[in-house]
Amino acid sequence: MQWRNLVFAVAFAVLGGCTQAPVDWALNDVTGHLPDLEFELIGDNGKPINEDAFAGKVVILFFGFAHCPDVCPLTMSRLHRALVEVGDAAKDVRIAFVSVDPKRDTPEILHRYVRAFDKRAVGMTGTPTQLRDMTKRYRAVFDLEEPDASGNYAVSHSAAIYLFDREGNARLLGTANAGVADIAHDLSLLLKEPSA
Amino acid sequence: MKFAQFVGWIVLAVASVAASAADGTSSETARGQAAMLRVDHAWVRKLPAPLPNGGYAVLRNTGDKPAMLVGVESEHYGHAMLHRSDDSSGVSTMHHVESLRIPAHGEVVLKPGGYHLMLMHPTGELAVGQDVMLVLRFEDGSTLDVSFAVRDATGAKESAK
Repeated sequence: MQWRNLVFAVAFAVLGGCTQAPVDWALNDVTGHLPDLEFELIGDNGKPINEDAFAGKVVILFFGFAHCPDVCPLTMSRLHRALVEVGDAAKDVRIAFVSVDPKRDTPEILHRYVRAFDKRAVGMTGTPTQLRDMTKRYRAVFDLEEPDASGNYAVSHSAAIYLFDREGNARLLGTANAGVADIAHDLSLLLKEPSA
Repeated sequence: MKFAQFVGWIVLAVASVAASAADGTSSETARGQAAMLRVDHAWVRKLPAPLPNGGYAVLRNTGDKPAMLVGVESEHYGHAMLHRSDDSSGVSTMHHVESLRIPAHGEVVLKPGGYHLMLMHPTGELAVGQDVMLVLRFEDGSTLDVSFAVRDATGAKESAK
């Protein structure tokens, strides 16, 4: 038994010696656990958009809705500040804001909404089927709540942010409360990775 | 009986007109719960019209009794109410709140991700840097006019505090 443990220990030591030091991510490393960036949606210019629009970019994906005056702006503001902290390299980052409320969030409103936060933000939405497909793919949930007397309704949605590398691989997952410094830290590391 | 009720009504109506005349048109001389409230760091997050805005502030109750905030109104918004966001479960939700209790000698912070004013249907495009007047309404009918600074979408600060 002890001999076997020793073999494992040696094997790990050798492997450890061969590979690079593990990267110290601030957010949750989900490499290999979530699908690559892939989607069919409608962009904030009203035209169909897919993952090709983000080729070679580090992407932050986030589900929300524009008639959300509180939590979504809080997250969008944090993402904006993280990009400011990253500096010049952030020109290769895109914030992909997917509205799960296509009824109210027209491409025009979405465009103005995301651009109010950051010029590197892209608004997207889709048909109910497209949105179900995409949220299912990333294990996100959303729900349109009952409208009130004036027809206003809230939308509950997954609060997570997803980070994809330049190859479109899902790499990191952050909560709605992920700190600006943590997001900036991980973005900087992703941006430094060589692109194939 | 009916006539007496009617007379009572008229008397009340006249009395309230007299009271508002004495007070002036604004609630500068706030009474009741409103008079005990001190509001600081009041700001609204401007989003492009017609999208709703969020309103934030620190509400301090200097009185010996709790104050209950029950509503908000403004000529700058078609409809406004108290809301609360919650993402403790990993899913962001937002709900209407009927009232918000500000304890005696205590404070409540309206801040992003928590209690906030949901300001819907802006009547026009606001400019960052301008002030908008919101009227906070309390359980006892008293009201308080509060000037809120308009900030851009990202907000100058993340928290009202």
